[in-house]
Amino acid sequence: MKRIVQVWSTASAIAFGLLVLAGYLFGHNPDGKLSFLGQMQVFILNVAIVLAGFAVLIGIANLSLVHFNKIRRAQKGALYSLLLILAMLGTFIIGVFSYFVPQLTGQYFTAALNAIILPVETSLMAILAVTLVYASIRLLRRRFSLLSVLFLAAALIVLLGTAPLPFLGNISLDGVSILGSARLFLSNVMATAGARGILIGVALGTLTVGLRILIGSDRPYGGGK
Amino acid sequence: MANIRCPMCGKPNPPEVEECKYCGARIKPMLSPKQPDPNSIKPGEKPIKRDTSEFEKVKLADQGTIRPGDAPTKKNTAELEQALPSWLRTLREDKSAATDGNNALEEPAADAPEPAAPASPGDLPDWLSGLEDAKSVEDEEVPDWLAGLRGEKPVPATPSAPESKGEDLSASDWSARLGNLSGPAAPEPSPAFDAPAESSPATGEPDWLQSLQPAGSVAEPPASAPSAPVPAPSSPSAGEDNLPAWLSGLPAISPDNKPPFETPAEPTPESQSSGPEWLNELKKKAEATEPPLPAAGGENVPDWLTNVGSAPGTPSSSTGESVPEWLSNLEAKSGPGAGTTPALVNTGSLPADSPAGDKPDWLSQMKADVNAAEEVEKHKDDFEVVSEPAAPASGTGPLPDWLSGIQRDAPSSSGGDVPALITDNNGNPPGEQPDTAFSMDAPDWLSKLKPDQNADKPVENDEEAPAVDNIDASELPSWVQAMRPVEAVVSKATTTPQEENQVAEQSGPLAGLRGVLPAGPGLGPLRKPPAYTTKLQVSDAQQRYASFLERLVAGESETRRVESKRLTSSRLWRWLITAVLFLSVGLPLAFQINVVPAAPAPSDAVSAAADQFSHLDSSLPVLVAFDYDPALSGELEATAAPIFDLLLSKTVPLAVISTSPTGPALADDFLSGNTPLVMDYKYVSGQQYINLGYLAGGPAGISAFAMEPKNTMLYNGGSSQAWSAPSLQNVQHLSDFAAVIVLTDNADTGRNWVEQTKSYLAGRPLIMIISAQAEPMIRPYFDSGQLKGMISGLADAKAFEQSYTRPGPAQYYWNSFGIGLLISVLLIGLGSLWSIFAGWRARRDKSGGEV
Repeated sequence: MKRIVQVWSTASAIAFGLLVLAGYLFGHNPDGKLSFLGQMQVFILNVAIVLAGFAVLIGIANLSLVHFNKIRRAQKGALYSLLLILAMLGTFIIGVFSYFVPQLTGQYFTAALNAIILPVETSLMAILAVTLVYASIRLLRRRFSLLSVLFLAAALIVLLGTAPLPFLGNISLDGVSILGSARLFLSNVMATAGARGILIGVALGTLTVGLRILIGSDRPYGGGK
Repeated sequence: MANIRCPMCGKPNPPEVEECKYCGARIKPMLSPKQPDPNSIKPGEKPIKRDTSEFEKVKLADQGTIRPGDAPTKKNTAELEQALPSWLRTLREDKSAATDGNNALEEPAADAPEPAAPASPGDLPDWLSGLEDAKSVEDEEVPDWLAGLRGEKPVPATPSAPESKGEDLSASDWSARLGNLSGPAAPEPSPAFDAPAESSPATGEPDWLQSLQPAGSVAEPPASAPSAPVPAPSSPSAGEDNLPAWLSGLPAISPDNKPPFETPAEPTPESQSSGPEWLNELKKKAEATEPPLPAAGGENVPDWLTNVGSAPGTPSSSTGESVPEWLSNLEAKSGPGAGTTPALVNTGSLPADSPAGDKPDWLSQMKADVNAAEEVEKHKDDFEVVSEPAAPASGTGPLPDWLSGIQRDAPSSSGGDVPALITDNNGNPPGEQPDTAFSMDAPDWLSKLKPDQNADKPVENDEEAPAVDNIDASELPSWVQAMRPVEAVVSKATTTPQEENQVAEQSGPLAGLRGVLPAGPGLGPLRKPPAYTTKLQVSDAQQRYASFLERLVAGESETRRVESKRLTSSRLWRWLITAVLFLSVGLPLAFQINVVPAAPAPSDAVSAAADQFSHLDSSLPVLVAFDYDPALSGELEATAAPIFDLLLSKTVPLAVISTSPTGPALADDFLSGNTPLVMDYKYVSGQQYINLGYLAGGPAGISAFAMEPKNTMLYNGGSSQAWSAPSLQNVQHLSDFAAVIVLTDNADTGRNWVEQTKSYLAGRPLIMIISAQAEPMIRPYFDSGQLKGMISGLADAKAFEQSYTRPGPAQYYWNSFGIGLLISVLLIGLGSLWSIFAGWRARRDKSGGEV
C-alpha cells in the first residue's frame, strides 16, 4: 500500500508538473484565448490556491490546539495562550460574519489593525533599530576581524549616504556627493551584484528542482526521497 | 555325541555349544571345515591375485581393517582353525583336560633361576595348546626326531614316516615349512632346509639330523655341560614309535640317563625362542613334570638341557645368562659383520632380561631378516651341511658336529663337539677355521645376528611381529595371506613422488595400491564444500574505523552543549542608546526642526516611475498589490503616499489584492484611512477601489491570477462579486489593467510578482514601491527592464515629492530620518572605537600585561 501511494504521488506530481509547464508553453491559442492546456493550467493552479488557503486554515487550527493544550496543562504563559485563542476565535467569527455584512467587517478589521497590529509591529521595528545600533557598537569587541570591520564600514557608508547629513548637507566634491556616490556604489553595484548572483542561483535551483520533480528523481511529495 | 574340544583352550565342551564356555572362543567355525580351501597356495605359487573375499566375510571378534601404520592386533582366529595344518589340529585335539594341571608350564624367565609359576593354559598359543596332551596319548603320532629327543632308541626310518606325511607332517616337511617361514617373499625354501631334505629323501630327515644319530648312538659323555637346555620329554613312553628314525636313535633323556651328546642348537636356553613354540611348550611341559634342577650359575636352563649338559665334569655356565656358553662363544667368535648362523640354527644369545620368548628367536630373526632371504639364495652355495662331526673343542660341551666347526675357534674354547653344520663351501674342508665361513661370504641376514641386535629385537619381535607376518608367502595358505597387514604390502612398494600424491587404497581388494581409482567421479575430486562464515571478515583497522564512524554518527545526534558566554551588556548603555535615538528622531518630528538639507535629485528608477504614472491611462483600472507587513507600514505608506497622490489625482480606479493575510486590511486603511495625501481623495472600498482580498498560493496564486484574474478571485472581501464592479467589468486579463503597482517590503514577494506576471502584462508597466531594505534585490529587475519604475524607501519618496507632488509624509519624516541616521552613525562609530579599545584592554589583562 505504501508503495502504491509512493508511486501514485510521484506520478501525480510529474503529471501535473508537465501539465503546468505545457500550459506556460502552449497556454494560448493564436487568437489569444486560453487553450486546453492553458485551461488545465489555470484549473490546477486554482486547486493549488485552494489547497494553500486550506493549509493556512490547518495551520491556524494547529496553533489553536497547541495553545489550548498549554492552557489545559496550566503551563507557563497560559494566560497569553488564552488571549491568543480568544483573539483568533473573535477574528474567525467576525470573518464569517463579514461574508454577510461586509461593512461591519471592514470597520472591525480596520480598527483592529490600527489599534493592535500596526502599533505592535511598528514598536518592534523601533526596538529593532535600537538593538541594531547597540549590536553594531559591540560588534568589534566581540569579533574584531577584517570582515567585521568591513561590514561595519559598509553599514556606516550606506547610512551616511542614504540621506543628507544634518547641518552638513551633501559632502560633495566637484558637485558630486561623496557619501551619496559611495552609497550608490555600494547599493547599486556591490549589493546588486551580490543580489544578482543570489537570484541566478535561486533560478537555477528552482529549475533543477522542477526538472528533478518532473523526471521523478526528486519526490518530495511522499515518493520516498 | 562326544564333546567338542575347544580349539583355543582344548577343553571339552558340549556338542551343542558354539562357543567355549571356558575361554569364550568360537567352537563351531563360521566357515565350513570340510570345505576345501581352493585358495591354498602351493609351494612355488605366487601369493598374489587371490580372491580373498571369503575371508572378508568372516566376522572376527575384533575385526578391523588393518591400515598402514596400525600395529597388528590379536585376532580371534577360531573360525580359521579348520585351515590349520592337520598335524597341528591333531595335536590340539588330543589335548586333555586332565593334564592341564600337571602341565602347568613354567615361565622360563631368563634371569630367574627359580622355576616359574605354572602358567595357565590360556597363556599358551592356541595352536600349541594341544601339545600339552600329546605326551599322554599313546597312539599320538610323534615325529621320529621328537621321539629321539625323548630318549627313544634310534629307530631306523620306518615306512610309517613317509606314510604319515599326508596327515602329519614329516620332519622334512616341517623343516621345509620352517625354512619357508624364514623367507617371507622367497618362494623357495632356504638352502639350509633344502639341503637335508635333498640329502635324505628317503627318510625325510635332514642331514644334520642324520649326523646327530651316530653322535647320539655313540653316547659319549659330553665333554662339557651344555649351557643350552635341551627339552626333555616329560613322558618317555609317549609316542616313541612314531618318532623319526634319527630321533629314535638318540638315547633317551632322563634324569638318570643323560644324553651322551649335545643336541643341536634348537634346545638352547633360548628354547622359548630358538625352537617352535610347540616345541618350547613341550620342553616346558617336561620341566613341569620333572622337578627342575637348579641351573648352575642361576641360569634359566630347562631341565632337559640341564640334564644333558650336567654331565659330570661338564662345566656349567656361570655367566648368569641364558645363553649357552658354546653359543656365546659362537657369537663372540662371529663378531659384528662376521655373520651368524642361519635362522634355523640361530642360537644368538638373548639378553638375560629379555622376556621369555613365546616365539622362537630364530624365527623372529628370520622375520626381521625377511629381505635377507634373497641373499641366502645367492649364497646358498657357500654353505653346506656337513655331516662329518667336527673335532670336539676343548672346554666345550658335547656340541653337535654341525656346531663343532663353528665352536672350534671360539676364544673361550668352550665349544665341544659341535657338528659343523655350516661351513665354508669355498674349498674349506670341514673342520677348518669356521670363522672363514662367517667372515667372508656371510650373507646379510647372518650379519644381522649380532648380540646387541638380538638384545634389541626380541621384545619387538615377540610383541609386535607375529610369526605369520614373515612366513614365506608361497607356503602360506590363502587365508593367512589375506590376514597380512596392509603395510606388509604397501611398505614394499616404492612410491614415486607422483604416486605419493595419489590416493592409496586402504581397504578392500585394492588395498595398498595407489592411483587405481579416480579421486572423484565426473568433474573432479569431491570434497566437502567449504563452510563460509556469515561473519564479516574485517581487520582490526577496519573495525577501528567502523567504531570511529559509529561514534561520529552518534555524536551528530547528540545535543552538543554550547558553552554559553554570558554577554555582560550594560543596561545603562542600552538605555542611553535608546534615549539618544528616541530624542534624535522624536525631537525633529515634534518640533519640526528643519536641519536636513533637501533630498538629492530623483534617481532613474524614481524618474521612470513618475514617467509611467504621468502617461497612465486613467480609464483603465490599476492593480495594486499590498504585500507588506504592518511593521513596515510606516515606511511604505510614507513612500507610497506621493505616488498614490498622483494616481488618485487622476481618479484612477483601483483593484487591490494582497498575497499577505493582512494586506487587504492595510489596503483599506491606506486608501480609506488617515494616510497623508491619500486621505484627501476619500476612496471607498467597492466603489473607487475593489479590494479583491487575499490571494493565496504565493507564486502559484500570482500566476493563476495573472492568467485568469476573474476565475482566480471571484469575490472581493465580502460576498459581492468582485468583477461585477463597473471599473472591473472590462477586465478579463492582467493586461486589461493600466498598470500593476506592487507595494512590498519583501524581495521574494516582489520577485514573484515580476516573474509570474511578466508574460501576462502585455506591455503594461509593473512598478514597485518597496522598502529600502529590498532595493538591492529588486533593483536588478529594474535594471533589466522588467520593472518600469521603482521607488525605494523614504529617500526616493522625498525625491519624488520634491519633483512631482506636494510635500507629504516624506517631508515630515525627513528631518527625523536624517538626524536619526546621523546619530546612529555616530553611536556606531564611536561605540566601535570604544569596543576596539575595550577589547584590546581585556586581552591585555588576560595575558598579564604582556600585550
